[in-house]
Amino acid sequence: MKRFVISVVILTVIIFSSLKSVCYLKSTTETLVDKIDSINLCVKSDNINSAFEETKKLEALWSDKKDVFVMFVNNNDIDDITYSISKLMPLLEYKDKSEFCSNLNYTKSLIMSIYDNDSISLNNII
Amino acid sequence: MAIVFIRTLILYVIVILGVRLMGKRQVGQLQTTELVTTILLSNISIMPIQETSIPLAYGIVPLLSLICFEVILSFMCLKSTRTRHLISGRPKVIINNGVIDQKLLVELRLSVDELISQLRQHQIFDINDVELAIIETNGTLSVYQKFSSQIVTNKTLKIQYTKENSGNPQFVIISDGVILNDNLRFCNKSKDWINSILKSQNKSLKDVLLMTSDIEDNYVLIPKELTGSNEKICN
Repeated sequence: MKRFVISVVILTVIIFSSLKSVCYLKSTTETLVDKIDSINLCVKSDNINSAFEETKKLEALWSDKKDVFVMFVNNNDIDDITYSISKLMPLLEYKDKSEFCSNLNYTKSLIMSIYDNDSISLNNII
Repeated sequence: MAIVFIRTLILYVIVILGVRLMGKRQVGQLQTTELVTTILLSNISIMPIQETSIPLAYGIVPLLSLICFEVILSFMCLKSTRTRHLISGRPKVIINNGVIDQKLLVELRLSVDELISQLRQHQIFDINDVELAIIETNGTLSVYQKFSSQIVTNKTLKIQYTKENSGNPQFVIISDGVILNDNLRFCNKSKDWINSILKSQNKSLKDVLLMTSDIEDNYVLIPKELTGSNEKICN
């Protein structure tokens, strides 16, 4: 009986943690994607100073969040996003707008794929 | 390399704890679900060790989940006969009155060679000695021999129990210099009794490799070879 109770407790913790991690991933990826969209908007309206500020905030936000992501996301995916974000500031400094936007969208798709790969859906289960 | 080592250690501890959680049955003969779980556990635990880009949680969560499923299923099998029969199947009589059920042999995909081999493991070399043989749910064979082939017991010889001819089982009370308190209590003995024996034999606790005793005052003491003598001391 003791083992049964321990097992039920462990299983409950696992299910609860899994659901919590999915919710966390969803909210965090949405925040990151919103940040990227706002940078895109700044660049499109030629507001380079704001784009700089927002990109710095994106770097800081990612630096913060990736320490948590590392617990339940493949390290290779995290590394890809880190490399991609690290390229943004130099591209903005050297005013390579097209390359910057392209890299930004690439970063956005990488971030969105993190949640897409971990969300509870039939595609992912099959 | 350090990461691989640390992950291996963590997963090793978790697998051991998990097998302990599943209980002693895992160590003995396995039912179908237990065999499946054991195989899966070993494969899953390797993944995060070999592939360091995979988070440790990707190894721990399936490990713990499998273990919990196994314990819960075992509990359900314990409480419900129907579940037990569904999961583990039922024992099947393969030999009845000395006659092999050949249809069942085919159904179980058990060859005659395998059947005879299992009989030999029961020290039965003549199939005519078998009255009843049952294939258990874990695949082992239980055999009931014909009367003429059965081992003679005290009951058969009508030998009555007396204090003189009764044997008591011996329990290990000292193992490699350490007193096993549970077994000591079982034998109704105390540490003072052990100390008096050791004193009479001029030995100390750390000199003892093995000491067994029964509920009477019968004991066997085997000192360690390093003490210079390794002859068995009996009472």
